[in-house]
Amino acid sequence: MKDYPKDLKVVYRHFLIHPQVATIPAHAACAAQKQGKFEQMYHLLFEKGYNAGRNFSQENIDKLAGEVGLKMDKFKADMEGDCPKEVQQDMQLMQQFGVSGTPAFFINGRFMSGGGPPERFKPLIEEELKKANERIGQEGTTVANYYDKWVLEKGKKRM
Amino acid sequence: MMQPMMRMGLFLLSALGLLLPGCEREDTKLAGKLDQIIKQNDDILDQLKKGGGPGRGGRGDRPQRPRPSPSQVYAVPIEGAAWTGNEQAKVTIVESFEFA
Repeated sequence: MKDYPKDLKVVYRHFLIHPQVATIPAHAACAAQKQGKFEQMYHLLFEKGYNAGRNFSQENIDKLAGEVGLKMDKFKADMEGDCPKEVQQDMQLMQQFGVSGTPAFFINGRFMSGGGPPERFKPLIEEELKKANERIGQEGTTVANYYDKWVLEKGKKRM
Repeated sequence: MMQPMMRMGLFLLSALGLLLPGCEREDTKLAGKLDQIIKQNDDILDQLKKGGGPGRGGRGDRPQRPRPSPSQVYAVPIEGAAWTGNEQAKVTIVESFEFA
């Protein structure tokens, strides 16, 4: 991300392989997103939840939500309301594209599985960046509509 | 006095003569068994190197899940999902993740 401050966007989709551990924090991240605080909550859930002995107790989750500055009534209502369904929808969506583990990535629609250092992603990012630079300015392609035109319109709709 | 002793000696020698071929046969059998064990051992090591083996409950039994092709572009929707970075970027990465 740091190497491409202007050119990268990361979109997050939930995919639960370890539901016994990951369900509550997924709902919490989803509820934080509804108050525009996904990124802050995402980092806190890893730093002070996962890295603190996988402490995803409701007490700790509430504490983290407080640190982020969420409105607690809405946060709790979303965690129990829409979020479980939305997390499930994310999973179903990603399964359509053949995802079966985490982390998994689609870089301008091209699949890459597993984590690793940023260098591992660079070749594919560079390749896609080069293609985008060649296409932008042609056939009505702009930076703003690039993903729609070249990934959503031309890409395969499922695996 | 000497005759019974000699007779006894001759008897022992003959008995030994009869036993020796038997021992050789046993040795041959053992060598065969040993070869068989070594071969089985090699087979097991081969299977382990391959990560199990078909019909033995190893990884070879599990059908491989089909995976998306890295050369194919997939139209993964991004609407409504949380995101970070530049809203209008040339490269969009969709990450499937969990807190685990």
